[in-house]
Amino acid sequence: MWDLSDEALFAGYAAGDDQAAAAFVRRLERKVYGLALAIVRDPADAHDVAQEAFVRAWRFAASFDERRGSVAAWLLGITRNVALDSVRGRGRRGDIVGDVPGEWPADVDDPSEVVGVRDDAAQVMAVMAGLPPEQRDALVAVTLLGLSTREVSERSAVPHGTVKTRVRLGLRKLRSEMEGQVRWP
Amino acid sequence: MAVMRCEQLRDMAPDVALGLLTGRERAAALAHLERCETCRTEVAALAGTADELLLAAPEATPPDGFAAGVLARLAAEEPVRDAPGAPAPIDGDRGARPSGRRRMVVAAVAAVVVLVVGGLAVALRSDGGAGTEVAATAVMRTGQGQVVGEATVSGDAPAAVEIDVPGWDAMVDRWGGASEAGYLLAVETSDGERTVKPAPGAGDDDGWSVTVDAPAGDVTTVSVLDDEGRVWCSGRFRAG
Ligand SMILES: [Zn+2]
Repeated sequence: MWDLSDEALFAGYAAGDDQAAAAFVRRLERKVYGLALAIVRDPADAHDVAQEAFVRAWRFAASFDERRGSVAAWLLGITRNVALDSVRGRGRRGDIVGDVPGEWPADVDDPSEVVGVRDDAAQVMAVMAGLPPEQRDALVAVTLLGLSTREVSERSAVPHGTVKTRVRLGLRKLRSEMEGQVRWP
Repeated sequence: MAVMRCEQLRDMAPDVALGLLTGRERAAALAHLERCETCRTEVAALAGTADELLLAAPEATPPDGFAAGVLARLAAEEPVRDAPGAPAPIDGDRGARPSGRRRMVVAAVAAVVVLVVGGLAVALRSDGGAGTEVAATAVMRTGQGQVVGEATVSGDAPAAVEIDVPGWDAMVDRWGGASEAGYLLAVETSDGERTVKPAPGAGDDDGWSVTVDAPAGDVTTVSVLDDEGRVWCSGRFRAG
């Protein structure tokens, strides 16, 4: 079971196979819960958000498209949306801004128990670590916290045009670096 | 606003991919993307990169019993998946496909929509039975490539197009303001015909259906538009 890819386990999860479902959740729960916690900042809320994300992934399994990316990234996208909804619902989004970028990306040397996502994650972390810090922070504020560039500008006292440029440069650079690491057959 | 050119779109492609545009800028970008496959591919690639970025999020160990809790919640949803009124099984020669997929479509939406789907299946059956088989499915995406739902097409002139957008409320939240006048569904067929009809129910239950006077196999795309003609999401049908 542990040798299977995330995508293979996910197929079992979606089809209602108990063993695959348990393995799928255990494999990705640290990622999902970690992201939820990074956004909502409260362990009890993060627990609810993470559970909801797994349930939604099961409900919407039919809309997962393997050609667009990994199931881990897809599940984390759902997690982020659920977490942002939860934070917005409580009108607390403003409180959490500012301290997240410092711990993002997670430490590249942190040994992970997560099988399967490990390689992808290490690659993203390495590429993220190579970005100029101001580009990385702007990108994280936008992608993780769901802020608009104007909000980032107001919070960081950096001109709006500069924030926009940083986000654009950061995402383009990330993409070209990640493509550079893809091995074509 | 003048028609946006490819180079202008390329400039702001990261903004589109990250969902940062609003108002007229966003409308112009989405209008361009609806017509331009090249730019759509570019934006989808950038959106994919943005998704992968989440893999670098910090990890944390959830409380004991987390996985068991998730599995218990899935088990609690089983009655929904097996609710009466769910569409009849797709015929047996597709036995290799995971049966979970069809059940998922049913479970994907609230009970209200299950009833709508069930109603459609019943209506088609009383029409002669042959129409119940889904001829093609389409993943519904926003202009930035984000997956928000699914559409199916079945039946033979008229074809019934069923659209489920579980992420509809989140889209409206994110992009601000539902269209007061309701939404439109645009269906294109392989002969280039475009049928535009008002969407019933304005997405209250995350789902719509529309019929077009063509065989299901000829239906190529479906889009959800607002009263200003902006595309909220669209999908291209693939057989099977
Ligand atoms: Zn173009």
